[in-house]
Amino acid sequence: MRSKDRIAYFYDGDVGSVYFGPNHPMKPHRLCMTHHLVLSYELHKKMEIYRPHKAYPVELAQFHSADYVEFLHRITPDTLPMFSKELAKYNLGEDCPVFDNLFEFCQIYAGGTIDAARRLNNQLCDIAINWAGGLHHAKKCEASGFCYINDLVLGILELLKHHARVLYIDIDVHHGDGVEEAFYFTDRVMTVSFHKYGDMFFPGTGDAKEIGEKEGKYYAINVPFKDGIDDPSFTRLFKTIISKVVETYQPGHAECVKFVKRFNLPLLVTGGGGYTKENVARCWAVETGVLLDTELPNEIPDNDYIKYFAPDYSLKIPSGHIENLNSKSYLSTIKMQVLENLRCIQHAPSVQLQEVPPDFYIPDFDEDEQNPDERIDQHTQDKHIQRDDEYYEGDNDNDHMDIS
Amino acid sequence: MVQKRPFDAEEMLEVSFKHQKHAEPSDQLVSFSESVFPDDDFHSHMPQTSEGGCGRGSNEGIEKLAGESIGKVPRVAEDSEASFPVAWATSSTAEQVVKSESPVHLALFPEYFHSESSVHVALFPEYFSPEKPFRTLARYEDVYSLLIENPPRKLVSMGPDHQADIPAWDSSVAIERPNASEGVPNLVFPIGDEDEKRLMGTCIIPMPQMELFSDNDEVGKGRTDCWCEDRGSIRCVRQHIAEEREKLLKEFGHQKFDELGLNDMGERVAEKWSAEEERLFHEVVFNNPVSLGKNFWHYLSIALPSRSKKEIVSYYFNVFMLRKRAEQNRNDALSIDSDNDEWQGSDAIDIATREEDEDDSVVDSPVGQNDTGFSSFHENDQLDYDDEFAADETCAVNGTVDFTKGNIDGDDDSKYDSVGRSTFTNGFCHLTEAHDQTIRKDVCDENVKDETCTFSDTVVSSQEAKAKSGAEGDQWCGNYNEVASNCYSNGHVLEPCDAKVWDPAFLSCSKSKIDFLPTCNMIEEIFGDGRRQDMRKG
Repeated sequence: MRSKDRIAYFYDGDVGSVYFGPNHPMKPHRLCMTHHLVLSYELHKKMEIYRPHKAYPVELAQFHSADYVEFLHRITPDTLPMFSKELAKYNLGEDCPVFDNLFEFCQIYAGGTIDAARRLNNQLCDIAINWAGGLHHAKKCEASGFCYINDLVLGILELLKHHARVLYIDIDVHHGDGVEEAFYFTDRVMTVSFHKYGDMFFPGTGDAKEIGEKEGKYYAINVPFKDGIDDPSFTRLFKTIISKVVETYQPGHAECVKFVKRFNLPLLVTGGGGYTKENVARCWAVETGVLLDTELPNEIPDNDYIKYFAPDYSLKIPSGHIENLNSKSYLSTIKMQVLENLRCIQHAPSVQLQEVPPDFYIPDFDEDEQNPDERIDQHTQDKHIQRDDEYYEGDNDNDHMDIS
Repeated sequence: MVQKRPFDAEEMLEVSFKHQKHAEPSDQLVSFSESVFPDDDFHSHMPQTSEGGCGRGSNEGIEKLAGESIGKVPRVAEDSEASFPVAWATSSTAEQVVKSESPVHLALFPEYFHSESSVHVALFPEYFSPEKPFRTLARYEDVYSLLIENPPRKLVSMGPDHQADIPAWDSSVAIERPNASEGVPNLVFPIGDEDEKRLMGTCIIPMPQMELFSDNDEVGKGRTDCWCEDRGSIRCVRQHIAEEREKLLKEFGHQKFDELGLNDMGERVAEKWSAEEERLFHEVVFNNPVSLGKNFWHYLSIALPSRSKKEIVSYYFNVFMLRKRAEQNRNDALSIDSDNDEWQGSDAIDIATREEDEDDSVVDSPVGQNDTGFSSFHENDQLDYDDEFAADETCAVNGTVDFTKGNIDGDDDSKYDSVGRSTFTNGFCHLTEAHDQTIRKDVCDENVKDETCTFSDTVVSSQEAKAKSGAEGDQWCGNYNEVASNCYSNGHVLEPCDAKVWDPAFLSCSKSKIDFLPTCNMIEEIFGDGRRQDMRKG
């Protein structure tokens, strides 16, 4: 085991003071709650805390189109009526409302991820955390799914200045379409997304068949799930796939969270989805602890926001029951498909791969130690409320998968 | 938005999935009509025509788009003019194609997230196992049922407007990197001046000395039980929060404490607000519920011009919402929902009301109602008033919000407003613990002494007077009237505030216990005996 990791944590209080609008599920206030919980558990004693700089428009334009960035910069709720055409063009106004301080909000969360990437590049830390980031749906020229600026793409572009390859793992319940699309043609970024798929679930992309194009073919991996995946199944599949991915892709020297942490790679962790704010705060606080090798006790310490954590005031809450629609054979099919695609990389490497990976350690799977919420450069699992009316009629196992 | 697909359709899709591997990994695209795909991206990515079996067998009249690799099919631009008739034409010929030697899987891709835009049709020639496709495709008489039963796959967009520009890679930059915490980091580029350093974040808390901590002993202690007599009360919780705050303040010092953002968190935020502002805030929220199609945020900015939007949002989450939660948490109802922005009081009574009145549509409530807020409602009987708030709030939101994504957690939450004025003001919310007069009195006392008390003395003292009198039912109304008259006498009108809103006659507690209960009695219903609740149901 390595000596203790140096961990940089990014936070700016202003990011929580924006309001998307009545009944909008995205509540940046969850970041204040998370931050407070982290401090109440005294995790600041094991890491360094930074306030990110507000990303400049030119930094945002490293990925996004200049006119889109400019529009975001200038539009306000007051001037909305004059720009209906542009609003439609940039997909603003509904899922992605225009609210006061929108641009500043984007600058803060994007600045956090960019700063984090730079610190990793300069080896000033081993792990960097920016819970405000992770807005993975934003596209080059438009907003999408509550995301305006894609901080992950910007962070990855920053990392690419110093690293040959970057591995992106996304365990938000929604497909990480913005990041996948941005790097769809390149083999320098491998995107792996585990998400719910089907039934017109947002965003609609993320089929296992999406594997990339041109030089990026086989460098996009999608693991689609149906409702109700349980922790053990998810973890098993996650570990299998990620192990194989890291072994095949060798994204530099780095580490990943807990399980992924053992791979010894620089690690950038961000937030993402999560629309029950107290559960988001619980989740990210626990994961901050994981990154710091600290297991947090279940009793939430007194803090300004403790009222939100009623009635138990505890970190771990019992999960509701939901039927797992992912049969063993379905999961097996997905796994085979992914591993099959990974093998295509080995057969025709277009990236310089060493024959014998140096100091490479494939940990044994400890199934008891399951915690599927670790990630690198990715998102927490979305804690959306389960819908009782989502189910599939009949058993739709795919029992006859042929592997050529 | 959730669709339950019948088994057959599911099976058909699975078929296409599992046979994907057998198709040639080459480009099998044939151009579609120009009218459907006008944008350049498509043409720039048009691969060579098919060499596989799929293209040949098909009718010439069909122009179909096909590809094993989904990346070949770009998404239609949203402002494209393509229309359904094209799809119709294709589908009718598709049936002919099905019968050819190379069966075609008809997959249609409506842009279901942009309902006005076009449908583009992509056909995937694949090698189907014979027993499947004919049966399933023949079931569909028209494109619509095919679409409905087989929601198609959305494709990844490609083109210069979609993919990122990857920086060039200079392999000389890469070096072996040691663990950053081991000794001096091996910097690739020396970190220059302050500006450059700032671009990597401004340090608030530097890296702690790791060797000072033996293990996890010092860090991450959880909450321990306290020994307060009124353990679990609002006062008790407040005390312990304050204690923890002091600890952190001592540890960080004032400057760092502030830089960490801790001065802008929690109920302390209210210290920066005057009593007047707080009352205004509550009034505006109360008078403009979202369930009636109002957006109180708009009026908040107008009513509080000296406050920035950030301050208003901060107050909302740190003070207003927290106090609601304090009350919700002590409510017996199981419907605690802090994501319900509009929760305005105890929900228990409204659970009862809602069950019986669920069909009453709040949507029918006049959205364009005049700005007198509840005035017109007050003219009706109380029961109707409750009904208006008792329905699911999400359906009543003005003009919108069918977040394709947002509906994930929006639909199941029972969001409903209640009539309760319990959170109307700072002092009042404490009064909702009607069952525990001691605590309330303590809080009132505390508020009087506490510098953070944001209430005018007149109001507080009237609270105390009422509390001491022990007249639970009356005291709420009394206080409400007090505030009402304050509001009125200060000439404090946000919008044409109809006097009826504050009509004391309406608020009198003399009404029948069975029906048309005023607010004050509602509070007792929730915290007192449950008999009234039953009576209301009956």
